[in-house]
Amino acid sequence: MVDPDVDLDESIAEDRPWIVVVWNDPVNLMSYVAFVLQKLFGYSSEKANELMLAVHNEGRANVADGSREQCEMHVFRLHEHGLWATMERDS
Amino acid sequence: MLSDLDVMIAGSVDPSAPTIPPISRLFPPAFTDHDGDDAEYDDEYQRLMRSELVESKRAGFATVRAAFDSADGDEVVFDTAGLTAFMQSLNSLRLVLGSLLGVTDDVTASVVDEQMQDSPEHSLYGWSGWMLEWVVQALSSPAT
Repeated sequence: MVDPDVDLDESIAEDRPWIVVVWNDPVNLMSYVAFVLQKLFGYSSEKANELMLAVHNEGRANVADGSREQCEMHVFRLHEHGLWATMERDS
Repeated sequence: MLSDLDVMIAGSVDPSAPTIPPISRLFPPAFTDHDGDDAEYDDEYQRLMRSELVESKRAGFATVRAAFDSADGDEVVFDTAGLTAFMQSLNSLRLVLGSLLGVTDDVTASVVDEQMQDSPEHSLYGWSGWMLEWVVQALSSPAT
């Protein structure tokens, strides 16, 4: 008999193996970055500002996670807006 | 200027073809480069998505140009979608100019290559940042 807890953990790991990272760059305006994060992910202005400041001060921030396909779409939309975004496996 | 950018971007559809650095800033890698672990994924992504990204940027430029073409005198009127296209186009322009000017320092973003300090590109870079701030404010206001 399969342990349902183990299945659930594996299922979560399978479904959410990727994260989307926005990197700091010297050109994008801070207000613009925060606005784009609000617009694309529906974050509150507080949350978007917090992420923007993490990008600015720490060089990067994880802004979303999900399946590979979901993250590719997030990355595409961030690139449409000119943000320097990449995706990587969630460690 | 947007027309020039449009022509340069139109030539970037093929991800395997060389792109001049200021334009390549508009097409970053999609996967973090951890010793090339996901290089194959990135190649595949670029092959499938590059042309779509190019088309998206060009469609934005076309929207902005249409708004300017139908301007009444000096007044250009944008609806929300048009203003969003203007915002994204301004930002593309800024990214290319920033790369061209060698903008490197985040805190003093006006620091550029010395030879470029008095260039028209530097003036345009400053103007585009000022304009972009206004557009972001306008799109952030509850009325829109």
